[in-house]
Amino acid sequence: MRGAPRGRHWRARLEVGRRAGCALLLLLLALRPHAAAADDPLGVRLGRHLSESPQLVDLEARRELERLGVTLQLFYNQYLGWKARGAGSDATGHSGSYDFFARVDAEESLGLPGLSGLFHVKGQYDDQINGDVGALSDPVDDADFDQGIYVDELWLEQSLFEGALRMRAGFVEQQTLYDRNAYANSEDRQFMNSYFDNNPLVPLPDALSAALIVTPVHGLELAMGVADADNLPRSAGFDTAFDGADSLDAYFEARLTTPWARGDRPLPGALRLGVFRDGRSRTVFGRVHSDGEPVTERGHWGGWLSFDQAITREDARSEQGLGVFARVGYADPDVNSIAWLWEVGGQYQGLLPGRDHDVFGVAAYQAIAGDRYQDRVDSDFEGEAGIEVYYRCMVLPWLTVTPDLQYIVDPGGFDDTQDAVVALLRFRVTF
Amino acid sequence: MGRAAVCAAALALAVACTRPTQLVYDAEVAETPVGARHAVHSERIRELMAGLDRLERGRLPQAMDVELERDRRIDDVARAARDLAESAGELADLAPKLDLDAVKREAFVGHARALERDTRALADEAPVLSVAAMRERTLAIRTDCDRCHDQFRVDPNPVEP
Repeated sequence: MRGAPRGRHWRARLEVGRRAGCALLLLLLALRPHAAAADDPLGVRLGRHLSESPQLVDLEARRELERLGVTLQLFYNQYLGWKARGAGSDATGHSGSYDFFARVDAEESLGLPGLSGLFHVKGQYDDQINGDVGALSDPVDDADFDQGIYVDELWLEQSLFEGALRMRAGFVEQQTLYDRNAYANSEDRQFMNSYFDNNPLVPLPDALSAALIVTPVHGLELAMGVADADNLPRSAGFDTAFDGADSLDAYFEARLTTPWARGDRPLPGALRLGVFRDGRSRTVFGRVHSDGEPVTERGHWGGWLSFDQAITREDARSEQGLGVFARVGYADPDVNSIAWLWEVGGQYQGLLPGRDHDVFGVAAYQAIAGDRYQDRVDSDFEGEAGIEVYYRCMVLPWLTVTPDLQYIVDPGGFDDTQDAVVALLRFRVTF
Repeated sequence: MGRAAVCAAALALAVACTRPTQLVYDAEVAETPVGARHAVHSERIRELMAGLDRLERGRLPQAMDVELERDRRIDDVARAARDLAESAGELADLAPKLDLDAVKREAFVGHARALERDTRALADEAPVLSVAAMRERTLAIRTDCDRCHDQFRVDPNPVEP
């Protein structure tokens, strides 16, 4: 978050310490029963409850609802951040968010063939270090603003011809439709930096939108659609969605499934190639009207590539094994300070013996400045690069703890800025 | 407010007029005679596999734990496959009561046992199979069904010569 106050006063530090203490207590609670199991009946019971319960609240009613086509999921994510190095003083911060999902498969629940829908409610608070780091990317992508509760998604999808044609309409996170990636697409479960959540050059608003997904042949999927480019944050969007085609983002993505397998073990992978039209009003660098006002335009084009591939799998169903990914993005340099972006990385699930659900991930990105911005606006601006490493540890079936380290080169895009080192800790609770 | 009330009423009507497929299945299993019950289980497996397909191709938020729901739905497929295997076994046991000559009876039992074997294998191996592999197994089971029906199912509406 840009513009957050630099440094923290002692009360904020106390707050971070208190939250870290709570997290530590939670960890100790989780680990203690195993040590005490041999001679403490209470420890045995508690340990069994904590380690064997598939969820913190495992309601049989929820399972019954799933059989009737209604799936409910609730998660809480807590982040602790520390800027250990970089311009300005050290800083600590924290943020948190919850996500509630209700998915309805109406074919199961109402007998309406091919109809499904999603209702996603979210809330979050942000006292994080993104502003202190001052990077183009957000080291903690999940920290956006303070809002107790809001509707993040509400859409319906109609599937026809056994899924060969699908139509989705409603309030949609565009990142669920385009630029997806198996290993770098969720700040809650995978990499925390915003650049590894989605390609930052592709405008992907949460907005009123419509999309069509076509599967003409096995292994090829085409997704296309439009979204309201002017949607105001946390607004329903009806005021801006229908004010003309010029202010719509448009997308077309071709997704090719890779064919590889090793024996009976499929190696899932996909290559996605997409183009977009940016419907936002953008300032054209170096062009002004006769009255001195900068020229703004809509409708600039760009493209993306997103690739993921499993390299090894321990068995057919398991997610265990090595997977790699890559992204490339291009945006019109007339209106974007960053014209090119590439990123590569990978993850290994089950790297350590006996830790089948733990995930180790490492990735790097480079955001490259556009010539026009350098020529017309700021010749010192060069772009930014970064590396992120994380280890997601499943402490209990319902609790994962993820230490994360990021090294950001030239944060903000200028090489006279000291490189930043950010250490993060994420707790994710599945209810 | 008026529109919201109309929408709510339409939704309530839709819900009131329809039944979840799981409940329809449960009712049909209870009402269908033993000899025909395998068809109900087979149809349920088809529905569940279609639901799995929708889930797999759903382009849902990555923050959701889709794997958890997928695994539970696979458990449902395994349960329905086990029920189908049981029904196939009952079908084979019915053979002595059918008006068939010895050769046809043997063929009938062979088809029923093949269905029982394949569905039991699907039920047992479902926890370690990929969804794609499960899809192939269910297609093989459908082939078992077709082979038997081609030979033994009586056409309820025969065309007059």
